[in-house]
Formats: sequence, structure tokens, C-alpha cells
Amino acid sequence: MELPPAMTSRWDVERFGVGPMATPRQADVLLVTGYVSLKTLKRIIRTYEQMPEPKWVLAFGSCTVNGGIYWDSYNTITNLAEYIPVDITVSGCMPRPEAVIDALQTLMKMIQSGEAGAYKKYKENYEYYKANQDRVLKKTVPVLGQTPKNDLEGKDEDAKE
Amino acid sequence: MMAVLRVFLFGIFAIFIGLLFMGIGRKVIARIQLRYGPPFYQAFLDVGKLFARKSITHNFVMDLGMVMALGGLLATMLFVPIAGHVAVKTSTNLIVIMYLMAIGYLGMAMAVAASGNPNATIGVSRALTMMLGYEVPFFTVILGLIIVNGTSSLELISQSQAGSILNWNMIKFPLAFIAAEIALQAMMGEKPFDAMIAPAEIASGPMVELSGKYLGLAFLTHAVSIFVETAIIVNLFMGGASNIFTFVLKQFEIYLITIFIEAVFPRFKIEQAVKFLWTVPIGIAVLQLLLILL
Repeated sequence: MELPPAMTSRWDVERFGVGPMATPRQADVLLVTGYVSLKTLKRIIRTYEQMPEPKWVLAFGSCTVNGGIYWDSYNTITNLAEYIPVDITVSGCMPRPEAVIDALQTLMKMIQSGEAGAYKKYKENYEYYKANQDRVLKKTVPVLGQTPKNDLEGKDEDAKE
Repeated sequence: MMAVLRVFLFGIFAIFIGLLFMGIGRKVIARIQLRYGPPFYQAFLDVGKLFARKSITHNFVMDLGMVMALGGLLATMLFVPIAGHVAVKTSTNLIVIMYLMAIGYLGMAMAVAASGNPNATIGVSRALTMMLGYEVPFFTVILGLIIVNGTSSLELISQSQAGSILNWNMIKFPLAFIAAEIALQAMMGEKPFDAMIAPAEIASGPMVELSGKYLGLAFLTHAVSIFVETAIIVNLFMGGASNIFTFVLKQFEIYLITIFIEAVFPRFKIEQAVKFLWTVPIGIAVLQLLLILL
């Protein structure tokens, strides 16, 4: 909800050369804004893995750092950095559009100085991230036994048969 | 050797001017929307960044199609006279230009169809439908000018308008100019005729699967297409120019008109766009043709 004002006339993030892209193939930075439910997490991981390298992740708001007000929810994750590598976080609930611009500029400086390379960590520690992802995504399998369509779990079961 | 160098220089010049126009265009749109806007050299930074990134290819046809798109438009560029300079001299270059320009877009269509993304396929089918829409009025306009001048050489048509500003085809045939401007808007894929791009609807259409270097090539293709299309209009309606600086300035005026329309208009649906292009500009162009003939 902070991104439309950041992009349009009032804060205009385009003056720093930053603009929204419609597809993950064209994107450099993935902004995860707000709380991440398990179904969202599945899609975030897919989007992240479709982006070409080098890629960076900006986690936005308290919800992605420690769960925020959803800290004890059964259906949201509390720390995004356990599932995909996060380069920079913006805390606050909700942060102002200025915070987005500030974070993007800090990220640019980090890229210049070579500090921001979390996508390399994802390749090196893939087992760690994959184990964490599988641990929570198990919960999204339907209880009553229908095979989910278009899911990795469904394909695995087919392969076993 | 000199000929090769000359062709090379023409290509570099077209890409440079096209990217400069794209950057200034973004700045102008930002100012119209009361924003500050990116610096005018942003397009160069974008292309530099895109060529430095890793890119994902799907198959050989995708690579070939992207190169064919840029190559087709660069080949078109070689036939367009720029202030008396032309890379390849022919006496009937207007027909060659209109023929070669389609090859660039067909290459793009081939590349994105090979990527296999449904959004890209929708985008390309829309782009080709739009091509059907704008080429008919544009050809009607060109037909009128060919009949008046008795030649299909772009140099001779631009030389025939030499002298004062009153000799320009823009003043002599205002209806043809208006029809060509509307067709140009669709040719460049700017609003209201950008149904093929439509980021919110089909995720930027043909560009949906292009990453890194492929998107960079698409940027360069767009830059060359801006250069070629404005250069054709300047030669047809604004009498060419005596030196390159004036020529680029005239091109920039044409591009600014396009950008002003782009900045304030919403988007046509594809069937509305083709219906509009096949009624209003064709009507104006046919009227001008009748005025010329009678």
C-alpha cells in the first residue's frame, strides 16, 4: 500500500531510476510487502527462483522480520529470511514511502560496495532454505486427501506410483 | 571497407539518438504528471545494466528472433535518408522501407512465440493485429504522396519540399499529415494504442519472458524503431533537412507530439483500436487522396 504513492507524483521513485516491472524475468529487486501467509510464500519462492541473477530481496514491514501482529498465527511465517535470502529489511508497521526510497538507495550503495550478495547464499545453503520451506509448506497440503492440482506435492505422489 | 564502416556508423547513430529520445521522453512524461522524473541519460544506464545481467533463454529460435528484430530495423535504417546522407542508395526506397519494417516486428513475434508464455502470445497477436490496423492508413497516405511526386524515392519527395516552410507537405496536405500522425502513434505502440504492452493486464505482453540481454536487445530495437519512424515522417512531411542537427531536431518535434498524446490518454482495447484506425485515419487519408486525384 506504500508503493503506489512511492511510484507516483508525490514521492516519485523513478527519479532514482527505479520503476515497477510487470514480470519477475525483468526484475532486479523483489519487494515483499507485509505479512507472508503460507500460500503467498509458495508463490514468493516461485517468483524469486524465476528472477535472473543478480537479484536482491527487500523485506518490507515488521511482519516480514518477526511476524508483526501475526506473530502467533498458525498460517503465516514469522521470519522471511529463513525461507529466501533477504538483503535488506525495512522495519515499521507500516513504514512510510520515504523508508522505501531510503532502503532502495541503501541497497544501491550496498550493491556498489559489494555487500549485497544474498542470492549467492541461496545457492550455497540451498539445503537449509529448502528444508525450512518444506517444513512449513507441508501444512498447505489438503487434509481431506484430494490431490492438489499444479502442486509439487501432487507431482511427487504421481512419481511414486 | 569504407562502406562497412559507414553502415556501422549509421547503426550506432540511430541507436544513440533513439535511446536519447527515450530518456527525454520519460522525463517529459514525468513533468506532465507533475513528477521530477529520471535523468535524461536513464535509458543508457538501463541498457548498460541489462547487458551486464545474466539472461534466461528458452531455445535457439528465441535468440534468432531477437537478433532478427534488431537486424530488420537496422536494415530499414540503412534506406532512410538522414539530411542527404543515406547508407544504401536506391531510387525506390519508400517501398523497400515499408517492406523491411515489418520484418523487425515479425522477428520479435517469432522470438516471443518461441518463449511459450501465454501472455507473450496474446501480446504478439495483438501487436500483429495492430500492425494490420495502422499499415492500411499509412499506405494510403504514402500512396497519395507517391502520386503527387510521381516517384517513390524518399530523397526526391523530401527535396521537392525544399525552400520555404510553405512548401512542406505538412502544410500542403494537412489531412494526410494528421492521418500519418495517428498511424505513427500506433506504429510506435504508444498510448492509446499500447494494447500489446499493457503491463497491468498481460504483464508487458511480448516482453514478458525477456530477461537481461534479451530485454536490452528489445530496448535497442525500440530505440531504432523510434528513429526510423520519426525519420520517415520528417522526410515525408517536413522536407528533410540540410544538416543532421536540424534533422534530429525535427525528429524530436515529431517524437514530442507522440509523447504528449501518450502522457494524457488511456488505452484502447484491441478491437476498439483497430476499429478506430480503420475508420478515422483511413477516412481522412482517403479524403486527402480524393482531393489529390480530383
